[in-house]
Amino acid sequence: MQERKPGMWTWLLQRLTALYIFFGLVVHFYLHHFLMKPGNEAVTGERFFTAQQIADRLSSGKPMLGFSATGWAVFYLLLLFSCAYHGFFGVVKVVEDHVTDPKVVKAMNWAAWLLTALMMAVGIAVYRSLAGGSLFTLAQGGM
Amino acid sequence: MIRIAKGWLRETSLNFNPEMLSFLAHRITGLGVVLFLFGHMFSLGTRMLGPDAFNRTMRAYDSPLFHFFEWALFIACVFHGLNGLRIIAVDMLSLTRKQRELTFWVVAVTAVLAAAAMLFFFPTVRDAVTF
Repeated sequence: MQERKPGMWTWLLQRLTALYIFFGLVVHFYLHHFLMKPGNEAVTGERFFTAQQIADRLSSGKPMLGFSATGWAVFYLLLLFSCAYHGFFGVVKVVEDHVTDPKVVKAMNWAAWLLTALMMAVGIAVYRSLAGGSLFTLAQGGM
Repeated sequence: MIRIAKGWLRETSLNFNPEMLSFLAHRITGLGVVLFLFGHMFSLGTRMLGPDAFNRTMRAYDSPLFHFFEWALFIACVFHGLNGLRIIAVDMLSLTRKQRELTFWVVAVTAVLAAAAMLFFFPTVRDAVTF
């Protein structure tokens, strides 16, 4: 029988989230710097994405880059989970190199899960407001 | 934190080579991006106070100082991402002997993308280059 290695799942998830973040950031950057034009620079000189512009993209039925409203919700919430998990457990790994007490390491792992869950809860609330509505309403749009 | 930073400095001075520097840079950029995550959520969270509050916050970020921060964030993300891919490639494809070469490629590609990204993050540079 093979021995169970406790850090294996964390290691694997770190790798998988890293790959998704890489993909996600390429899409995010392409979208914000090539596909969309920020604000209404020509009219008011504003060079940022307005709340209205973001809400239109996130809740519109018109697909962009092949993603509809639900697709964007899944894409961004998965990206947020990946960033939070990869970041917080990355910090735990950094600290683990310098801390040997297993109780402290265990507590840090729990803290990382808690922070990831908190970040997701806040992220879902923020995403809903950015999309100008409810996440569940958006989910009716189909992928 | 100070103890950890001192440990990194000691290890880097004892093993001063490109791989050690890339290890250090990977950790520093990683920690920087984690800190940014909190700031990003806070900024986007102003939308919960209404569209005007969000637009005011974004307008405040449209300044040379924040353009510089965005550019630095871009560089940190590119380096951390490419170096992470290098680590995965070395692990999975048994490329340990090619580590140094790959490290130089990561730095070179990051430098090229950082230079090109100035066009996107600094409106003055973009206006000067665009005729």
